[in-house]
Amino acid sequence: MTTTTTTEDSPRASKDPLLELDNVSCEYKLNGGGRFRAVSNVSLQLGHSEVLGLVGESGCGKSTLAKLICGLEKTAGGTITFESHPVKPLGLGRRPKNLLGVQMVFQNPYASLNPRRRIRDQLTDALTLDPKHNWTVESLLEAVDLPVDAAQRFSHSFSGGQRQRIAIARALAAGPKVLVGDEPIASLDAFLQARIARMMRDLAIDSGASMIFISHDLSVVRDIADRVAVMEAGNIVEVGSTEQIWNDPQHPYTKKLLAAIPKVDGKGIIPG
Amino acid sequence: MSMISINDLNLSVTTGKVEKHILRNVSFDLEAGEITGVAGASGSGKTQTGLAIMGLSPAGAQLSGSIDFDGTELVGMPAKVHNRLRGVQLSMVFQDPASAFHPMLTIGDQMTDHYRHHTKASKKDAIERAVHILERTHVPHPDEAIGKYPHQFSGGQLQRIAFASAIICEPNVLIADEPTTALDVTVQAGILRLLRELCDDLNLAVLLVTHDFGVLSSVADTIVVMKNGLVVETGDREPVITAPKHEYTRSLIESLPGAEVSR
Repeated sequence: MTTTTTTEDSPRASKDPLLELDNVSCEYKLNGGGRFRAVSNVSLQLGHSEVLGLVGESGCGKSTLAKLICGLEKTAGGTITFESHPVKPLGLGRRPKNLLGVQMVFQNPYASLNPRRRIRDQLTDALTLDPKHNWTVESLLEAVDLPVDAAQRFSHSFSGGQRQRIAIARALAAGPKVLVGDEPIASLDAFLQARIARMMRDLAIDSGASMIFISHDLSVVRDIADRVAVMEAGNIVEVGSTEQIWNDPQHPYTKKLLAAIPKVDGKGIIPG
Repeated sequence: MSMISINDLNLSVTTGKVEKHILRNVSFDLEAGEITGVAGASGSGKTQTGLAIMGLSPAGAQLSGSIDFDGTELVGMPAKVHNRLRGVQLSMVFQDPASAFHPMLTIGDQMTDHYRHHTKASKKDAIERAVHILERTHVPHPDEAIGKYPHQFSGGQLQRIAFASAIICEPNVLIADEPTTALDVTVQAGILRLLRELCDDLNLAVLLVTHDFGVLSSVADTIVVMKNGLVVETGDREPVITAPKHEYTRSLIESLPGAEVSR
């Protein structure tokens, strides 16, 4: 299904983490004065060819953390390092070349694609950012299971799941080293969610990238993540391997999240 | 006797010269005091089935077949007559609580508008009843909530208010279209418990539209599985989930993240 684009130089060779967050905080100004601390002293590391799942309820700061990593939000303290370069917030100027290695897939594919440009043009824009030229428009569409003639069409003629696959293709086109998915599957139906999530994992790993996968759905994260970080009210309360978080959660909040997932056993038991 | 009995319901929309069939010979029943879950991928016609009962099918849609509501035929019913049923005997809760409310009217105004229209109650009586109903759906501090605006509530609270608004006229039928899809798992459990409670206490016939088999497994009594406008399987909750008869149902359940099914 996918075209192999793995480069020969082993990505695991380097011991340093690909992306590192050290004591990162973020604050928003509130309307009536005062500040709201959305992210509070978060430290996280992302290794090479690794999928990190980030889970938590709405309002816990997951999306803010994603924006911080991409430089779309200013930090209120702490440092974010990508390939030993600091991540600076995006200003009015062009984004520094080295930071193009962090690419994001947004939650809502209806809003993140440009309705007035053909798919080919949108993918080509992203392709020009990749110095290695790993992909072509055709190979990208093939990788995300879309027909090649999709390139000529506009985004309105695609369904939600297809649009999200176009958004994934566009993020991949830039040749990212870190792919950040901010609830990329939340707007899809349950049967598509697992499929798109696995597709993202396979494409990221096959192209030698790492991925941060943000979701409130623990069961999907379990399927695709190597490690899971659990976030509550701006703090990371628990980080561990997926197995460990699922089978032996330590923090009460993690336990509560796990207990709330309805089981598909037909027994008619409401969780929690 | 079923509260609602749908028989050979067909719905088609004609755009230009192409006739598109949205529903094909859909038949199933809703019983009072039971939750009937409709599952299917997006575009399978599950929402349109709910909207057809409410008389909210898209403009220009051709409806044929029969929806029998306690002896009254709903298909082909004049809009004026349907208006007298909608909101009173047939009510609905929508997917996204944030867009289901008018942002500039207080909760009290929005909850009592249809109640006062249908029952000709006084404003004072209506507000009193609204407070009572909000208490019923476990909204904290109902007497304060009544004067607040939608943006002052979280998604879960708003969905509780939407349920309160739906049951204020004591309906017989409640259509819940993906009521928990926009909510967190921890909040979802509370809303499902509320739905079960309302269904049992008020003897409501509930149609629960969802794509989440976890939700169906928790609260549905019977399950209807739809694909491309066709009903492919109908049955009690446990057999449908644990031993699906139709290939499509099996593929839907198998496509869920493995963890949910095995545990």
